[in-house]
Amino acid sequence: MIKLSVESLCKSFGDLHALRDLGFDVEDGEFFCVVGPTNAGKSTLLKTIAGLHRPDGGRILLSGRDVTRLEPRHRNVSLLFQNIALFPTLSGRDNIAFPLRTAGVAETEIARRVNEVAEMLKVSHVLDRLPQTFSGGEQQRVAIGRAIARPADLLMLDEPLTNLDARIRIALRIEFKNLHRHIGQTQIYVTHDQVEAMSMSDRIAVLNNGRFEQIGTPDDVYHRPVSAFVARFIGQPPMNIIDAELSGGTDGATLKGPGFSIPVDGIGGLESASRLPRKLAFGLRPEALRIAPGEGPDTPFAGEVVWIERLGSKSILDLRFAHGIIKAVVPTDHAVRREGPAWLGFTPRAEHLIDKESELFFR
Amino acid sequence: MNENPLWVTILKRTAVVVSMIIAFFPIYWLIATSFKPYDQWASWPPVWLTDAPTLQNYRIVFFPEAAREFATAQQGSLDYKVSGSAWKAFQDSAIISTFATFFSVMFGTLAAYSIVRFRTGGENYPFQFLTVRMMPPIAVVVPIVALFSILRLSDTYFGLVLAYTAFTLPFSIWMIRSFIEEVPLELEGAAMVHGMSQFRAFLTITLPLIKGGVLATALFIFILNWSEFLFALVLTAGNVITVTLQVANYVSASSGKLYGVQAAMGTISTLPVILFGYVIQRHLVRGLTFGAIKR
Repeated sequence: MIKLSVESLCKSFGDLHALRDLGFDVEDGEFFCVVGPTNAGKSTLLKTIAGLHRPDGGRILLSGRDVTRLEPRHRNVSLLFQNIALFPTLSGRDNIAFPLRTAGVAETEIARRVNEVAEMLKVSHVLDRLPQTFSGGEQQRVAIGRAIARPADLLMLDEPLTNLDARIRIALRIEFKNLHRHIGQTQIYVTHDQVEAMSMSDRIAVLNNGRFEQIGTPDDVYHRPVSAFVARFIGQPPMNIIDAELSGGTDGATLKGPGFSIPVDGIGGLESASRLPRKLAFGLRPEALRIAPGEGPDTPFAGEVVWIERLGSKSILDLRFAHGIIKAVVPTDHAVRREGPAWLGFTPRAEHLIDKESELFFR
Repeated sequence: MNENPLWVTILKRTAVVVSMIIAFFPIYWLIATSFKPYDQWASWPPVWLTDAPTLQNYRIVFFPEAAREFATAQQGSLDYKVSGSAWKAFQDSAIISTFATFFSVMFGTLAAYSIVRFRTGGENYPFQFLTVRMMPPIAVVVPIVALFSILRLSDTYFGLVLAYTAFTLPFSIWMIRSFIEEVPLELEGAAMVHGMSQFRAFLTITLPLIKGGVLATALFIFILNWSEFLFALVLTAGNVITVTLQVANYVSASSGKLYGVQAAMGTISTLPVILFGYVIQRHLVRGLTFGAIKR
């Protein structure tokens, strides 16, 4: 069942086109992540759905109801703002009770609900204090409490974990997921952190410059990115994208680049190399690369190791070859040294092919 | 810390002392004169501190009989209005200044909110109405007098309240605008998402946060209204009288200006302003706190 349906939504601020013709559906109970770099339009999208911005065009349907022209309070949505926005003059208790009070819930019920929420979020001890006395994590939790106190059709969370230290961030990440399972509410979760998006969501929408580059499951956007932007944005370290040229005919086609030459057969047997554009780029996840003991037919990348970042069992390796730098995530191997030589091969079929002109993936 | 040379320190301290003397001298002179007997008001050499303090000046301010006695004693005559009590002037000034301040701050707050949140009037709008303050008020006195007599607003409370509100509104809007700009939009946004109309969000969330600024603005506007003279002079004709007019009225045909009485009235008339300032001081000092917003 579709909970939220956004149709060709547009919003500009003067010359700045924040949202360009966005359309998507969110299923009932889905955890829907919107990722994208700073200024991609993520917050604008949430605020427009919430009714704080009036769209220039398009429609927003919530539970089948057209809410495009409704005031925020009549939409039955909840929004956790990126900057928390707790009411500074109200205590923690009154902040959480705020949406219940405006909805005219009886005081006894409010008290019960506030305590329940506070207990769940472990903020019972700050209920009688003003927000300015809270720690960063407590502010965040109280703000979450306010956002979930009254059940809404749609809960939107705008970068709820940024500005928090790593420990709280990981703890809250798990809590959010549990919370979602617990209350089963439809959620839109905005983040610029792709790790958060990958680990939590049912589906991810990658927003860039006011447009969706791709909407899909975490698996889709990771393994089957549709554009170079998605490929670079999802995954840490990002996908290596290497320029290449296609030479030869239908049979013995070869991908050639500075310092490497890969027979098209060897990269997974594309049936009709003739259909490919001549100017290509070649995408490889750092995780798909592996270290080979020496030069061979399946180690197209050879060069000098310029940097090693050892992360315990794994290392991130920067190899300088003729094209530039290629990053690889490999099992830590102390035989490989900085400034020493190395040879890299890759898992068959792990490569992606990108049209240089449009930056779109066709595999 | 680098120590200043001695002469710099001496120079600095001297500058402070001199500026304090300059600042406080008129206040000292006002209060000192208000207790001086008639012959010491404008004597030469000046009497710094009277050796014969008297409350006569204050009596003249409040009791018409005292004024008459004084006039008889000096074998002079007092202006007609002076023989009246100053109570009426205080009362009128209080009514006019309070209402004018209230309206100025109220409309100023609403207008400032509209300008900040809805960009009402566009980029240059705030500047445009500030230009109201750029001409000297006396330049518009004649048309305003004409307008007020046509509208029958001359010599009424409402007329002066209207004039004062109009002329202080630019200040209100400018000052309060800066306070509203400090309040993050998200706070109102949160209130609206969580069930309030924008106006209610403004009243319950934004207004308490800018309370200190609004009160500071109110004090400032009140001082302007309380000490206004020009409009009070040209827009009244005996029915309404302000403190400033009453002070100017202390003139005797034989003795010229009654400096001592004017000083007494001046001293008294600073008290309401000081009182107002004292009452709202707590809010002025505390200023604005937005503890729970990340920037």
